[in-house]
Amino acid sequence: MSERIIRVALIGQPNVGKSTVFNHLSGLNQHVGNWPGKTVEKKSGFLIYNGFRLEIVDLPGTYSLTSNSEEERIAREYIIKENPDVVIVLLNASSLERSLYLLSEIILLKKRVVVGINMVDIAERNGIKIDFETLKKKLKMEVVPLVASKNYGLRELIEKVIEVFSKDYEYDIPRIKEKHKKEFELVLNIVKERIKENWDPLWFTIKLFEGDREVINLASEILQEDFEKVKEILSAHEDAYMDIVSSRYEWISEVIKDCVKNHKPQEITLTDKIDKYVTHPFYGFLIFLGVIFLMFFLTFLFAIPLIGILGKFITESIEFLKVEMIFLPNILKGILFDGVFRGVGMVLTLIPTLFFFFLFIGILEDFGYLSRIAYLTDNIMHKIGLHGKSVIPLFIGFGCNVLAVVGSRIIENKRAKIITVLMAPFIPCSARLSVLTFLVPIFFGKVSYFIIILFVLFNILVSFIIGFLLFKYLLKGVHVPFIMELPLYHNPNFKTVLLYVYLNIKTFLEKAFYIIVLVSIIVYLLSYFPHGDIQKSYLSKFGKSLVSITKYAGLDDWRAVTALLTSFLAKENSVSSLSILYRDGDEDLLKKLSLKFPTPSAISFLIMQMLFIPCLATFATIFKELGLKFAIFSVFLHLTVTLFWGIVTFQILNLLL
Amino acid sequence: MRELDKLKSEEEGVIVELIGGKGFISRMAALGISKGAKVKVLQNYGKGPIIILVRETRIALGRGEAKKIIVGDENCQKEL
Repeated sequence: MSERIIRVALIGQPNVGKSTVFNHLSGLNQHVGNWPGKTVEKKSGFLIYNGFRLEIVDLPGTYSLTSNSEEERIAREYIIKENPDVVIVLLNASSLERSLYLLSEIILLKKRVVVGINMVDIAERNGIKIDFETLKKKLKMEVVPLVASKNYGLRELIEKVIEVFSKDYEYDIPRIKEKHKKEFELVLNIVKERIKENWDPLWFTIKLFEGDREVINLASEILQEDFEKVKEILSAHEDAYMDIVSSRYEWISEVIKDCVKNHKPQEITLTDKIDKYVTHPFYGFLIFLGVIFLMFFLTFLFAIPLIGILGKFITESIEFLKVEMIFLPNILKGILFDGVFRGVGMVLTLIPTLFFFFLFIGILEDFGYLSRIAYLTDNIMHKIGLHGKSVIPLFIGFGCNVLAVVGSRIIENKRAKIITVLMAPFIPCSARLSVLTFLVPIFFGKVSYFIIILFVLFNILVSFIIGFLLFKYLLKGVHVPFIMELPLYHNPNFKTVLLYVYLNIKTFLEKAFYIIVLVSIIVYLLSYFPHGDIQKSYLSKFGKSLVSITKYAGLDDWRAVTALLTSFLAKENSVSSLSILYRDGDEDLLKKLSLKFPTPSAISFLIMQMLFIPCLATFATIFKELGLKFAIFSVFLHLTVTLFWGIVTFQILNLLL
Repeated sequence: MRELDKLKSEEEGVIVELIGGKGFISRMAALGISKGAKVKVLQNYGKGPIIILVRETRIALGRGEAKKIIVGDENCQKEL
């Protein structure tokens, strides 16, 4: 049986719970990719209901549809050009007035609309009562109250989409004020004559008056000789823009006049009570540090035993298989056991750390805490020419640098984004942390936890020094505006958080899995050929050639240098490479390493391991986000910084110890 | 009439004017910060960004941005 297809676009301002709605609607039937040619994430999914197949595209969260940001351009281009059958506009029940602004723009695009009003439970708790029936009549649209996190109202939302799909519609739009009506009609008539394709003349004219850069550029092509005339009118009536904005808010206040009542307007909300401490310049900071500490502590508390169990399981499986496959030729055995299985095992042992990190970040994000971090740190970040928003991707960097680079998209300013992206790979990701937690106990035994924290702090410090130097000498620039909504706190939704964890780990695995396995095989082959002896292999030759430089940083063993090199392909490689390179029969890697490295070399090695060039996946992402120039710059930056700190640390320690 | 960053915590006012280009004004408008809107300062510690409440939304705002928002007392709303 074939279903009738309805193409649905889901749109809403940030913090309306759009991803929760999307996740509930499409569940695991979703696909995450990028908008073609853009660096903005595109989520799409489907659901089947009563013989209909709803194909849902989750448009980027935007406050309006002016071409101020890439997200806004994508969202409106999709609605105009792809012409979805129904647009679901999500509004926040707690700030209906503000979130209706987006709807006031969308109705100009003349599409079938279903309005979902989300988080009505939180609004009610804060004394806000919405009369949905009256609202429905005033908007002439279907209006569905939702509590997406509790799966309330979503079925009705789907039914309304299907209902609206086959209905005629006409909505009232915000009116242009008398003051500029004459000029407006003049431009509108010119536009009407010339315009083609899917563009709506009225919308186009309004955007011209709003000074929308993209539309003005388009107008210069479409309007041809009339463009000069239009430009004249526009510049003579600069103030018309303010009228358009206020006409929208007038339309909004007309709509909500009799529908929204606030019973407790003077009451201090729970959010304000929490914020008294959480955003306080002193207590807030203590809480922030506490949260970071707790995140690391709990992650490792839960992850380390799991890693131990997994590691043991993997080693035993490999031993078991080794016995079973004793008949295989040596080279094949090597590729299989030292290459493939070790690589797979490596990836598997990373998952517990990733899981707990993303669980934590997911909970904090859903709770509404991440934006508070941005507010708190804004002052500090100003010293390196950034603002608080940059802290959010850097914070995510503890989980995975790739996702930190991707996350830097929230920064509107190009220069600030570049600095953040270049800082991000210096934040120790969970892969590097797992290497660190593996290696540190070998060298330091009992004081390991303390040492690990020092290493992490050192990395953060270096990241900020880099940010400061970039800002001071390379990417000087103007003031970066800081405007950010602080959403109401609400209980994290279990399903949303788990899906966040799932999707992030999936992205990581897709990017890293093959690379890690492949590298393990390549490293094995390079260490095997040409003579089957690691001491005379190609790998040792390359490593040895670098020793002449790295010996100043205490690395006079080519194997350590080589292990470092392989971590370019994935940070966690350095352990697997070490264990391949220091392989000598079945002797335990752990015991041997501490004998091979005197303390100054060990510390210098660990520091270099923590600072070394971003992994291949991060490099590829930087390339995608900022272009090849910056990706290569990032690699050189890391090489310089790594060698610098390696040499400084080693020389100082050598003098002291 | 004062710049928004001059208001102390818990002080209220009405937005009278926004100083800046169309890009700035349209971004602000989309967040609810537009002429005629009531605004309450929730946090202002004299340095660093401030937190305001406007159209039932809490917004963190850099001082530079806050300076570009001119606020008057309640009576101004009637005149606008």
